[in-house]
Amino acid sequence: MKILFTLALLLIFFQASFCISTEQTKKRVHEGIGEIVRSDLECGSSSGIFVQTESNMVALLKPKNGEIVWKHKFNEKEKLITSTCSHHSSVVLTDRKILVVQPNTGKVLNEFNHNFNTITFSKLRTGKDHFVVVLDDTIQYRELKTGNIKYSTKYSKKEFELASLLLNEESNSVVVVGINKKRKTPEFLYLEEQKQKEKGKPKGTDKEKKVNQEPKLIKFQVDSDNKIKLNTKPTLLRKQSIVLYLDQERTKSVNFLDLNSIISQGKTSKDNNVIITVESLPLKNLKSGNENLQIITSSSSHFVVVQEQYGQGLTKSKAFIYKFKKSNKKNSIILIAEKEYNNNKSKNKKEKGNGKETESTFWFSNQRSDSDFVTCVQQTETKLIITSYSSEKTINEEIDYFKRNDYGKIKNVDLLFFNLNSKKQILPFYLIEFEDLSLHMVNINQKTTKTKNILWGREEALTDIIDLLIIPKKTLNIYQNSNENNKFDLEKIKQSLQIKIDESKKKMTSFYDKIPKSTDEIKKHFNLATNEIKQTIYSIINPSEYSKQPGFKMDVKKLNYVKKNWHLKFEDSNSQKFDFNKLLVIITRNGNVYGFSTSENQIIWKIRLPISEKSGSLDQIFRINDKQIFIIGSSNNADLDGNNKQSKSTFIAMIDIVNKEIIESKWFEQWTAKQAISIGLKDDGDDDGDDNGNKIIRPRKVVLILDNQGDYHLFPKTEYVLKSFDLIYNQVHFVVMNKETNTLLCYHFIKDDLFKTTDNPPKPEIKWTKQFDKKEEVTQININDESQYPDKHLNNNYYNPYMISLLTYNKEEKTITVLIIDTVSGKIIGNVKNYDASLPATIQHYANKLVYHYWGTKVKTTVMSVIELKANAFSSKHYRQNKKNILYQNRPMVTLKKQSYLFPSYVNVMGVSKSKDNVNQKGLVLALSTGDLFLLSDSFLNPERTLNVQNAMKLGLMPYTTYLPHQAKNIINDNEPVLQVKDIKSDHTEIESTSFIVAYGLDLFYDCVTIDQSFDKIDSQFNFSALIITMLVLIIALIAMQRMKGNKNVKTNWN
Amino acid sequence: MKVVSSATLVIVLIIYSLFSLVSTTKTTTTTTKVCDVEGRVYIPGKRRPEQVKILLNGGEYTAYTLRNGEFKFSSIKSGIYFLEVDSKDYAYSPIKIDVCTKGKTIRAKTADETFKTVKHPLKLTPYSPKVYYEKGQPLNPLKIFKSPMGIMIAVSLFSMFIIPKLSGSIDPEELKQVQQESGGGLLGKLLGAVPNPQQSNSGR
Repeated sequence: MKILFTLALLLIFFQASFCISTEQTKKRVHEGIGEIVRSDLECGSSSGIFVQTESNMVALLKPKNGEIVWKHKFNEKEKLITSTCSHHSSVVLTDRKILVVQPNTGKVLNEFNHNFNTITFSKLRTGKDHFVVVLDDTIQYRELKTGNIKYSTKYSKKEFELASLLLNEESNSVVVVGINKKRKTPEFLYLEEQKQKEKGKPKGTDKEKKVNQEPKLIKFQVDSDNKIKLNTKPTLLRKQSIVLYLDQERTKSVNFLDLNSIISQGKTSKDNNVIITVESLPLKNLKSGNENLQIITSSSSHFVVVQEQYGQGLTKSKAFIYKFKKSNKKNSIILIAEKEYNNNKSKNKKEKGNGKETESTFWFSNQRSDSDFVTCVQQTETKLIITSYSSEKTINEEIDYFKRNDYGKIKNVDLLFFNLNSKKQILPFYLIEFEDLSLHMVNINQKTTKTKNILWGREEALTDIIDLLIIPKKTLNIYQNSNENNKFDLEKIKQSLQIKIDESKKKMTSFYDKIPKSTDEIKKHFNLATNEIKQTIYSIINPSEYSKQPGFKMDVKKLNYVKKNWHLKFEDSNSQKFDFNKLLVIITRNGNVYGFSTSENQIIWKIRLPISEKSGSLDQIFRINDKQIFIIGSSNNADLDGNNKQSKSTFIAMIDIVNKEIIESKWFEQWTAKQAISIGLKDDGDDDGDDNGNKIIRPRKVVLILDNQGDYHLFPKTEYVLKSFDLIYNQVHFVVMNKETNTLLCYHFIKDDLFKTTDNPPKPEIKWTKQFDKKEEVTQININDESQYPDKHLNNNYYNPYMISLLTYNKEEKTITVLIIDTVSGKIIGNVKNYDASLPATIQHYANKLVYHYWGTKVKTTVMSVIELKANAFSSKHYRQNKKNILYQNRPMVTLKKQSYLFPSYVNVMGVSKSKDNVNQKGLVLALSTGDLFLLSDSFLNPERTLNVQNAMKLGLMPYTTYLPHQAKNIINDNEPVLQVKDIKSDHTEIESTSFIVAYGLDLFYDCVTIDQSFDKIDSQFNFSALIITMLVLIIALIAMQRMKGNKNVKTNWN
Repeated sequence: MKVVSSATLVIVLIIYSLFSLVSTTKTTTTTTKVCDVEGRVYIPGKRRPEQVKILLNGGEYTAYTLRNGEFKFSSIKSGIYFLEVDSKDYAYSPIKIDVCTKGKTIRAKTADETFKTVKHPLKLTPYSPKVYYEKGQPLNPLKIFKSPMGIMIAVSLFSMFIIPKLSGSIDPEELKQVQQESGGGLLGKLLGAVPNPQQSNSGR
């Protein structure tokens, strides 16, 4: 029994130490790549999807689950131009250099700088050790391994204007298409690689080999008599070696160039330059005027010509799918199918890869598969329709999962071919990017047309975070698997369904009425339900799983799975230590609101706000109370026709984060929000209940918006809010930065009447202004967080809740200025100018300290400075004595103490930690250029630090050192880089020693950090083994003593 | 008079334009001054170090090390730069490089407290491996006995096992003497394994 007891104790200790280590290794990074620019590139059959993104990076995604294999981020100053990938290597071209990357590992095999102006390069060819670069006057064949020039051919820059580069994979030839500047006719440079010598023939020297292999350059022009103007991108019918190009200005003709016969004949002639005018093609109802004709795509033998007709805000498009038939005698064209569709915003169209992006229709050619077909991907209100055209048949596929409300419209689609299964069959996949930046991989099985599947989805909108709120789980039962909702209760499902039914009564009512009571019956009933209803139920009972696997179909097995895992999930979420369990409410630029659970490391719910109708974006998020949040957005331009771009309209939305629904969303056309702040209301102590005894959720904070007309708006707009504001309006000081005039304005609220007896609402009025020089750019305004004041006034520390700090940058003088302003009086408390300084610079204002960093242009390292605000000794005494009846005028005089240090790394952004009672040491989180997040204790930033070691020891401080420590153990993200950090936010946890940190940019990172291991946390030096041994020895002694108690000698001795 | 003034104006303009031309050519020649920065990243005990990213001025220029650890920044404009090695496993000192500000020489120094001069091409060796986690204290018996816990163990063991044995080995007469001398104090009580007959009698 005693041994068992001992073992149990030991187990507890080991578990305690183990728990800490598992907490450290928890996945805390949500990696992002951003909006995809090019994804029509494939790296092998199954190794990965090679993507180029808007955030200036290239990455490789796993085709099976969409995870990032590797990513290369380029600096903002180094612009990524294009990239291409093949089985063995990928080439990335930036405006400075060319990188040759190993596609599977992301390892850079070679990089070389260039100073080219106009540049394009060919796709990589399978089995070839070189790629073709076309500069503004040279065509270069460069070796993949070394980057050295293999062959180089010059062409006249004056005569030839580069248009595009076509690669014929079948014949290993390159066609450079351009325009003859003098004649203004299309011109072609044809480079055909010479075939290797046949086997058996004697091998020549290396030099001879090179000469033999050098590509043959043939220059040819289109028949000069026929003055054709090349104004569309030519395309290639691959197997046929036929270049298609279009001249629509003069003759409206589709032209074909037969390359093989041109090469054999050495020139163009009527035989090989097939010109077919539009009239001769079976294009119907072609009218002159507002119309456009384009060759969209071509496969080995198919091509699509799209005819667009512009109307008033509506474009009618008609696509004609042709098959090219080549015979010895005559070339012929057969019309396979035609398709008509409408585009709402034709002006937004742009060309991308081999597909043309319109509002909702995309065309693709099948380049990889043996079967030859052309595909059209179309988005309707609720469906995604994929139609494949081949000469034999037309296959129509429909995916009804893609709802416009959830994802918005399609931004881009790419067709990829992968061999994901062990079978040798290569299947077509569609990589679909929606307006909300979500990325989905859709698989359509050609053989069994009924099988459609969404393989995976990525939420790339998290790379575009504008603002976020950190909400502790304890405050709110946000999760479905919280205490009450935890049970797999059919009644709860019914209730939830009722809410959904209100939204879509027609569809759901019949199903709801028939819900049986027993579980067995409900299983049967689920099978009878339509997909939409099944999904709705599933989304209610398990939203996290639902978001992970969109399009998840409800069946008996999965229903049981959900039921089985219900309790497990709850237990897991409750076992979190250090209050790691937070809900991040995130708003992104493109109108999405996400609930991100830190314990599950995934998005648990998502709401899409209707801002795309005015091409608007979300700007700010506020917390009203535990259940409601408020969001402000703005339109980019009020008028879609572009007549009045200056007038912006404001968007507001109130969201219930418990029920995940929009309470209110509205556009205000009359005014534009200048600035918005959140102000706390006084607690009146009344019971929050209505006449029926129901509890009313009253706002704890309200959002105050000042508009461009000098008026103000309060949200939520209730009587209670207006009354509460009437009590506190005279304390509100509103600081607005007018960027046009470079002026800082402070508003306060006044009432017209002297005695404030009337019910007139208070009006905003300018109290003071501060005009900045035009050269001074205000980069940051930091408002002191009053909640972060420690509850003590030691060492004459100066605290002022009405204080703001500003950071300005003067590019010409290379100075960074820090201004500390009292908002009530407009008085400048402190003005610190730093010379030889440049951006990036951040300021953090907490308690009585101001910490800022900037890049020292002279010292060439980051300079960190701290300003401590101390109250004047005499006035401070007076202040402390009159603490209860303090008037603003009685505030003590301020003295500033400053000290600067060097930090040997490039710092981009800085954040400061928050703790519950503000007693614990603060920590500064620095986002470094290397992707590290460095935690620096506030104790290093103390202006009292002196060079004299003895004096410093007396004061209990560290002696002054020029350099701040830079140790790897202070890197909180370990070896997971967090790229392009925009901001770092913090929130307190339930433990005073621990703070919750969130850093977001290209990636999202969050963790709990311990700055000073004191108060409620065991010191890192604490020896667990010593404790265990002590316990063991004591237990052994206890057992020994119990055995000894029977000994007579001992008994007599003790007596 | 008017003619003279216009002529002088023309001359002044020509001289000014010539000067400005000279000055612009000068500035263009100074701004276009470029140099290559080369180096090699070493990891002790590894012939082929893992690929790392090298950053100049926080990413204004970037380069990757090749298979043998070599890297090169081509055509870098003259000026002073801050070089960092972005390695996840090893810590390298940042380096301040003076690229061709005086002639075509490249001078470099570590940008931390050490201020070591580094020759070009740069040979970058790590000063320590990166340790992200603090290591737990190893089991050291000596440390345990030095700690208050150890003392606690020692005292409890001493009082439980050694004292009764000590009292048993003492001659009863000597023990009585000690007890009498101590006058029934703490020492007497501790050594009082054999009870004092007088005290016990009086107690009853």
